[in-house]
Amino acid sequence: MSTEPEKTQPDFMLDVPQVDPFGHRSDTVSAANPIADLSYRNYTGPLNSHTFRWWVVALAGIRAARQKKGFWAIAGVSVLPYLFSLIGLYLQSRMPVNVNNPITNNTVGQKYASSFFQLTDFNLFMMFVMTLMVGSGSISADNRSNALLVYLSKPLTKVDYLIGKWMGIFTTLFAVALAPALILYIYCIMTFWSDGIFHQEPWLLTRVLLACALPAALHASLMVGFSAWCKTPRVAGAIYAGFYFFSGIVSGIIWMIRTHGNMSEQVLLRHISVSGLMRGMVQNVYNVTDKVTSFGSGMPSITDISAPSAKGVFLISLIVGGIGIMAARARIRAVEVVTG
Amino acid sequence: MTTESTIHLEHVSKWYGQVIGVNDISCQVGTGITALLGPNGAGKSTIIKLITGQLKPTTGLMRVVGLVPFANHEVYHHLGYCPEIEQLYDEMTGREFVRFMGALSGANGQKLKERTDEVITIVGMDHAADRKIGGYSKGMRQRVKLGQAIFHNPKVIILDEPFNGLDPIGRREMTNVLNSFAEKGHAVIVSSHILYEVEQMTDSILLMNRGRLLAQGKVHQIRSLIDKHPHSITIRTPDVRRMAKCLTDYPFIISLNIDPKEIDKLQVQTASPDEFYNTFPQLVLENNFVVSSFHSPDNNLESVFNYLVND
Repeated sequence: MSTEPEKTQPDFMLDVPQVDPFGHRSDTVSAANPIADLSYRNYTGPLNSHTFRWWVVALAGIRAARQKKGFWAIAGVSVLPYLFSLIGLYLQSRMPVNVNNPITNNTVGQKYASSFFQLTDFNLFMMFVMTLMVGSGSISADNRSNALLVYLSKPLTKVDYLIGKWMGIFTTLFAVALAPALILYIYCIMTFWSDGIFHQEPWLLTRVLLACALPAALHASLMVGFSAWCKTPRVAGAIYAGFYFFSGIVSGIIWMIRTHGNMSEQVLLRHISVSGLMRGMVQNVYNVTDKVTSFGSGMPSITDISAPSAKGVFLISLIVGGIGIMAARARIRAVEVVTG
Repeated sequence: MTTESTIHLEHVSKWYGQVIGVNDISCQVGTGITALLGPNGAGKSTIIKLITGQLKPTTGLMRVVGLVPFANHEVYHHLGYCPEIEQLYDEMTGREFVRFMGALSGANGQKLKERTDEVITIVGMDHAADRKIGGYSKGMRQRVKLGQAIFHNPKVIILDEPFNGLDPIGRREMTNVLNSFAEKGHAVIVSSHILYEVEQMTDSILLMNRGRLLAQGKVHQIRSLIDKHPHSITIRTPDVRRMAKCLTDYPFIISLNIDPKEIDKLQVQTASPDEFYNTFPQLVLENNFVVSSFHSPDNNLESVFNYLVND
């Protein structure tokens, strides 16, 4: 590497780098250009406007998530229930028509939605694990390495940064949840078209999209808040996991005290936890009843439990998610300003 | 050489509660390299944070390329910042990091890739650009940080302790990059403790101590204004005593010292270095003195720094 090209090259070489017949500048040593031009060169390309700069931050988050082996492991596990369901549906389609449907609910309008609800419900826990993996370090890692100094020295607002981080988590969670659901949906459409699947449940695709998006959005909103207030991904993940389980235990205990375990009562109260809110949202989106097995008279009986109040669940989710985002916004700053 | 003003501070103060960070600073910085010097706690970092818009001045007026910097992301279109931090994204390669930062600056597509490669070459990281930052030395981290700072061709670049962790060759290479950057009409502000390296790079300084700006300008100009410490010059000649006798006639000579251990060495102290430098050649010619060496040991940045900070 040359350090003083000006002493060995003609003067014009200092400001006008050598250009070959194809217009390429000679930055490297070659027979024609034995000394590399390492002096500063102005950037001549375009610089985009401010719009969508947050997407660069989001993309970096998505790429970082994809590089983790754990990401692929959890994504693989998330596919399994859908895969089993798909195999079941395939076998069912091979059976005589009069055989009872072993997988889906036969209630009109809930036949397929009910299956999708059960599958999404199962995957909510996997989504939580995925959130810990891809979201805990989203801002806390920047806090630890002081990378906010570098980030916010670019033409990027605090809001851009926050949106980027949120989108990085949300997009990853959404994609992992949606991909297997979408494959199953396409399979159902192709297989059961003649059964009138599209006419019976025309909004199924919209419901699938929403059922994947809403829990992902709530996870992302809460996780950015926890991550922003922590110095390390491990601590952020541990605190979020604690909050996730603790909120479920507390709401369960309060519900149990107030209803003595009657599943049909105080349904909204039973759902006031991170996992409960997500389940409540998904159930409302699919508009299905939940089947609960009870042993009231000694013999098991199946009770239909309706979804918690949609208004209540969505409002509480909005407030909780909003608190997460506001907490992150309050925390994100390039320097720690000491106030007297 | 600094010319037109790119950064403008007018009576700027910053208080951290009851602690003062910088106190009534007024200065202008133009194109070229300017060194921001001062001991720990002098207020250098606060000034940098004010210029980069990370802090809001408590009082006073600030402009960077004509814009108010605080919380103004538009400023960063014209500003490159190379912070002191050493930890970066350890999982990224140097090339990925520079490309990511370039994308944040607004470049995309083929230009983003080309410019990334160009910047990697400029900062001398071709050989290690595809290794993960986690395995980089301090010097390599400094280079990729510089790379991201110069990526978008900013009008102003601010470097906080850029020589930390760099070996002598690395320092020289970084100095060359910064010099060529400044020669193209950009403003460079370098905060550093390594006075020798700063002196090799520029003679234009901003000297701070205890939150105040002690001096701004060229080192030799500032030195000539320090009356409290006479200017010291060392001359080596075989005619030490005869030269000393001649010099006593001049009123601007304050003292002459002959070292008995080094009989060819004459130390002169003068209150007016300019007058001395104008007169001395004529004196040598008229008296046929043989002068083997002639230098001023305290006409350097370190002396100026010590005189101003310690007094």
